[in-house]
Amino acid sequence: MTSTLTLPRTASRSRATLDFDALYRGSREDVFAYVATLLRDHAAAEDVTALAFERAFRKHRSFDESRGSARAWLFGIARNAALDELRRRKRHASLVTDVPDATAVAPEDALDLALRRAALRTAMTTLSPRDRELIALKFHAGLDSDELAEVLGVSRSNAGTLLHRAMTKLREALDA
Amino acid sequence: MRKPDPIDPAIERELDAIDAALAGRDVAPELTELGALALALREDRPQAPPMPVLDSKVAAGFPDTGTWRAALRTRVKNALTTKPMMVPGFAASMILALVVGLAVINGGGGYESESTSGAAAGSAAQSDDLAGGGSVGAGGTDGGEAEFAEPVSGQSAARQAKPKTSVSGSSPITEDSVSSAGSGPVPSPPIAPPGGGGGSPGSDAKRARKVERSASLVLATAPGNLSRVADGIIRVTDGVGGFVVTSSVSSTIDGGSGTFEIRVPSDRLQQALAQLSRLGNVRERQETQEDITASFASATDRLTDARAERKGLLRALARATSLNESSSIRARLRDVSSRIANAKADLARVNNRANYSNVSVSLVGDETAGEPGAGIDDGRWSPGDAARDAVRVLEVAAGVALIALAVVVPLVLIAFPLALGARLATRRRRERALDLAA
Repeated sequence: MTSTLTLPRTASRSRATLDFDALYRGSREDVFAYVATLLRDHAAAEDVTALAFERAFRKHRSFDESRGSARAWLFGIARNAALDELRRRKRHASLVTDVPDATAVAPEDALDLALRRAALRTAMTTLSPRDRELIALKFHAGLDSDELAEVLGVSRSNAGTLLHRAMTKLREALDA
Repeated sequence: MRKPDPIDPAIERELDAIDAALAGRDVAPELTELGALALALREDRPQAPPMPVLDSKVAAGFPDTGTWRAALRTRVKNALTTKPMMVPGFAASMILALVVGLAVINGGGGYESESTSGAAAGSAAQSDDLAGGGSVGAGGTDGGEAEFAEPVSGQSAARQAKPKTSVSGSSPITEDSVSSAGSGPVPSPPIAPPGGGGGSPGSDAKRARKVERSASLVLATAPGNLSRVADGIIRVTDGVGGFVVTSSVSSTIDGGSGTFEIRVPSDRLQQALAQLSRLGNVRERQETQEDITASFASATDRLTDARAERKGLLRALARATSLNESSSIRARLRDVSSRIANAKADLARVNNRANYSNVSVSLVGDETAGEPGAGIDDGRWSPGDAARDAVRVLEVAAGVALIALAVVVPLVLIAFPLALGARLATRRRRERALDLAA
């Protein structure tokens, strides 16, 4: 999914080694998808996405390319913002989640596709938050294995193993 | 270069199949289902709604976060919502830092008090002042208190060679003469009872005290520099409006020596001593003060009495009716006039003693005193002065930096583990939040 948003360049960012505009344009949809899957709340996901980009903008001068890709760095920030939101919700006991609507499919979708999507969403809800996060990072945010490992702070093989386990659980949930 | 971690081949094969499916490549037949699931997951990802506010903020470069105040406000706001425990933690850290800071400061003060223990603080201060030619007290009568408060400003000659510096007052406090040559606390001079020379109401008045000051200096300089220092002494004497009473300079193979007896206006004594002290290395410096108010009062009284007597005699002479009586009165008038002249002379002498101070300067030629020219101050600010000032500034700066370091290092030693611990705790809390978000 590619964003077609065109943003004007700002002079204030000329010193930065990081092209923040490009990062924003290329990652906004992915960050939102990841956060929305993790929080299961689209409204909160919007806020957290905005907060994540704001934090990233504030810190973008501290970005070090030698320590990893810009996307992994950005998703690390987004992850912290999302987890902060989860903590806040836990403290205020205001867990607001989008209830997965099994019938929420476009009328033009085929019945088979609609059923498959509904089954997939239902299976996703059975996963633990950690597994759901892995799937969100891999399939919704589109991170590769290296970026996945970097965001989670684990080794590449460990990230692969964790993802494999999450996929196995998802498949089992679908088969159940 | 990090060594790649081993991964189960079966897992790696499935992960490759997922990547291939997402990239639109062919997937092994037995993993087609996995590939389809990967594509379905990607297709089912939440769609971002339009976010015009965020778009405009990014385009504008987050103007409300550009300033450090806004950033701080955002941080505090976030911290308060996500880390409520941070508030008491921050308060505790601040209190701890304050306690450590105070302990450091008080620690320094304690050391200082130890060094002057057993003596009054004023004594220690006085000792410091005296070393630099500072406040000098002259007692003698009960007016001594006032005299002790009289400031005698001067620049420190002690810096050059840590000379023996002593200051003594007039006879009542001579026994308590203060010396800073030795170490240890200096007892504060007691308020002495009126001396034998005083006692009259006029002499005990606290105001208009007459004090005779004198000083002696022993200056050492390189033998080759002796004549230049001698010239300097004369120049300084002339400069402060004084005069040389006697002088003698002799040069020998060993080095030579010289003595100068000079008189300088008392109100410029400290200026003269400061300038003289810069001419060479000060080996010894002594200042003496004697309260001569009693002598002044006595001379004044005698003069007043004699004048009154003369006035009376003149009136009696005018009323005299016989020659004998007139002769007798004239004889007495001569005697009174003589006493008036003596009293005037005494008064002038006392005034002169108070207005001019004796300074005895001994000059010693010594090879170890320094290079010829060292210590000579011709009144101009030379590159040597600049270098000395620069060194002094560096010393002070280094001292300040050292003190700052002494304060900062303990704070850093406390703050760093605290910050590290807070970071780890936050990370743990975030991970726990994920686990609990089922």
